[in-house]
Amino acid sequence: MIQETDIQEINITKSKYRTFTTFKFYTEFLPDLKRFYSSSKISEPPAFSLRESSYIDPSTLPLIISLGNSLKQYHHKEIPLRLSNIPGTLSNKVINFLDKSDFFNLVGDNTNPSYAIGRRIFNYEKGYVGWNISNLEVRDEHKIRGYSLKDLRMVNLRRLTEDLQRDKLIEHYIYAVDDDFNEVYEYNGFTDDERHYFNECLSELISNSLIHSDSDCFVSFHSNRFKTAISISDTGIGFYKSLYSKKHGEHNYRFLELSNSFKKITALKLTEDVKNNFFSIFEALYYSCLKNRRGLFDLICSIVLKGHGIFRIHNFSSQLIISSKLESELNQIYSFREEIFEYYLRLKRNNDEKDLIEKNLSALSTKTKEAFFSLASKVINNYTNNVQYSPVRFFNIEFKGVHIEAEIPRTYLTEEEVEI
Amino acid sequence: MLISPIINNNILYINLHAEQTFFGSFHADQLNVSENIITGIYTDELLPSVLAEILKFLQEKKGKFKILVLDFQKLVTAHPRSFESINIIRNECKSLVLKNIDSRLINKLNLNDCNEYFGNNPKALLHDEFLLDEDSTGLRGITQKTKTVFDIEFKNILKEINFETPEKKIHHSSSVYLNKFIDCKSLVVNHKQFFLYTCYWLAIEMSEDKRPQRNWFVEKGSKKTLLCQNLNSSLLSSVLSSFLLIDVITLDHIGPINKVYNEVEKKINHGEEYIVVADVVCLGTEVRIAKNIIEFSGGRYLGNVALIRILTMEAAEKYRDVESVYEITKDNNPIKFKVTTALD
Repeated sequence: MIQETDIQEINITKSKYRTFTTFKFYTEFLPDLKRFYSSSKISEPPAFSLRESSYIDPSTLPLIISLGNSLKQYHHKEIPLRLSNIPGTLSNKVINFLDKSDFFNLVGDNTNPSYAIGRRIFNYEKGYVGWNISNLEVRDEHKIRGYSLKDLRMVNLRRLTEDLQRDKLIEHYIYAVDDDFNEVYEYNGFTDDERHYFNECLSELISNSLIHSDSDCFVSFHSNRFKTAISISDTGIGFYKSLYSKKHGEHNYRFLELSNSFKKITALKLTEDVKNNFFSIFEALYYSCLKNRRGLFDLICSIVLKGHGIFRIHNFSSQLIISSKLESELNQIYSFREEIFEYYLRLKRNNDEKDLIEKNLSALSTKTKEAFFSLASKVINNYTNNVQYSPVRFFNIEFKGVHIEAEIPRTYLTEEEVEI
Repeated sequence: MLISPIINNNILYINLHAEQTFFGSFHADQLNVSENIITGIYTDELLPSVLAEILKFLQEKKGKFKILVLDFQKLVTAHPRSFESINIIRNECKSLVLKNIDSRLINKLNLNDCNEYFGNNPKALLHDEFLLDEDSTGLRGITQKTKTVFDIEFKNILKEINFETPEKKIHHSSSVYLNKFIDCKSLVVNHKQFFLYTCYWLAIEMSEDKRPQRNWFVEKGSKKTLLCQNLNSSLLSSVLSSFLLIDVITLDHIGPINKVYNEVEKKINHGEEYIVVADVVCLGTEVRIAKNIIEFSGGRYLGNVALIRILTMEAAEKYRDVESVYEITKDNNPIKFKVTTALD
């Protein structure tokens, strides 16, 4: 019989972290967890603790939950979560923040369909949750939700072609997301245009994640006066394996063609796995750029180029940060992308010019590849010269799956609307 | 299933907002059982599955019409994936007319070759009519408003669903006699899609602010309740409650006029606002009884809605609480409806 005190605790909100951000999750929290797993024989999962208090960035919540989810699958039991709620202190504020964001409903065993349905990931004492005595008003401006293909009623979804699957899912999630994040929209006084824009972004990201990762995904969406942030996390197979399954030569895409050309020129001292994972981020963007459907790359362009935001993609142990620093390269690729898309449109309208269009498309794909190549060389160059401000980060600990964060400043969107 | 297609003079009219409302209200949650999503008529984004459904419909109907009219009224945006279907729809018909379309929507739907129509004015919003055809100039101005087409179709169907009542026999329940019986059940059974489209128009009318002609309207998120008083009206109000996102309660077996009530319903909540729903309102006796029950129990009676309202009798003043899809008046009486009393 294992005593409760025997279970080792790992503090999520250590006071040394101060504000617990995604960067701290990758650089400090994951090493802590690794130390636990390499120190002793593991039969019991560690207990996550929220007793020492610090602020939590809402973007980290999907990461914590998907980490808990994969640990739960590994240990075949719920992960203990230790709480404390002392009136008048920060811990009370943190608990209320988590409660308002639907965190406890999502990770617990809630069955009330008005809130997020519980996934039974963490095991916590419910007595700590739900009272707010510190006169701190917690706003409804952040929400977290979990999505899974298992919730869906369509048994034969997986038998459809990828594009059809995506169409079905995107349509469903436009409705679902609008419903789920209604409070965030209402509280922040979003205009209808902003609402449509974020519904589009969220549904695209969720369906991408569900189709390619083979796992559940967790989404947080929050907004304040300055920015709106989306964070989405899954613990799936990652870009590399997902691209591996693509048909050779489809849309002029050949697996690893781009990565192999990177490997020839760069002198990055990294293991083969890390390199593969890092380059597969570019591969994924390149593939999405060549496709005849709107997808991830178009979303990035609309967020970074039109919305002036930041887009972070984390794949296993590497992270790529796309921001306006890469604007000139991105603009060039975007113009190629629009051309490719225009050709596909023309192909759809009449089939007579098929040969000519396909010839043009393959020429364009080479151009796009070169543009991606110059983007990647700039990124890697920045990494070797100036690590602190580089658009790429490599972490010591691998965290399974793809984790995406997007931040969009609020003022820009409204300014654009005024122009319209 | 589409609810709005109407063929008039070889022109097929489809109201996209009606289709999106129907889909968003009854098919939005089809992928996930535990979610209950209803968008109602407040939706303003066109999604691809509606267009896919239209495409399916067109392939069945091929050759039965010459011009297709898609009405974009009340839609402000479309999902970027919708454009593909629009392009295929273009190939399915000889000429396509897009009504009430926004220049932003044109960009979203990638109908860029139509930009010539808008000239150098990107701020041009809500053009009335917009054609996609090689020799489109000859077509301009021959299409009608979707609401007008709907009214014409309603009149035609009204002629179908009424029949003569047998000869006048004196009875005790009421001293009023009608020469025609309007069979709303056959509207529901034989013209199912059209019935839903009728509900859509009723919901749209109810949500519009028409003060001072009418002293109430249903805005988004309001706490008004629909009250139905018989079987037809309960079907009508259940559809209306999905479209307008409001609650519904039933008071069954109201009337006839000489019925004696020994108990007042306990369903009415104190201070809540109620709208009485009926299929056909002739003299308004049942509505008045429902109103009395509501007000006696402490609720607030706002007004009443009906599919068809008979206004052949002269009223002392215009009602400010009523709304209907079709009004039969002295001048507009296609079925020669007549109200008589026992004295006539």
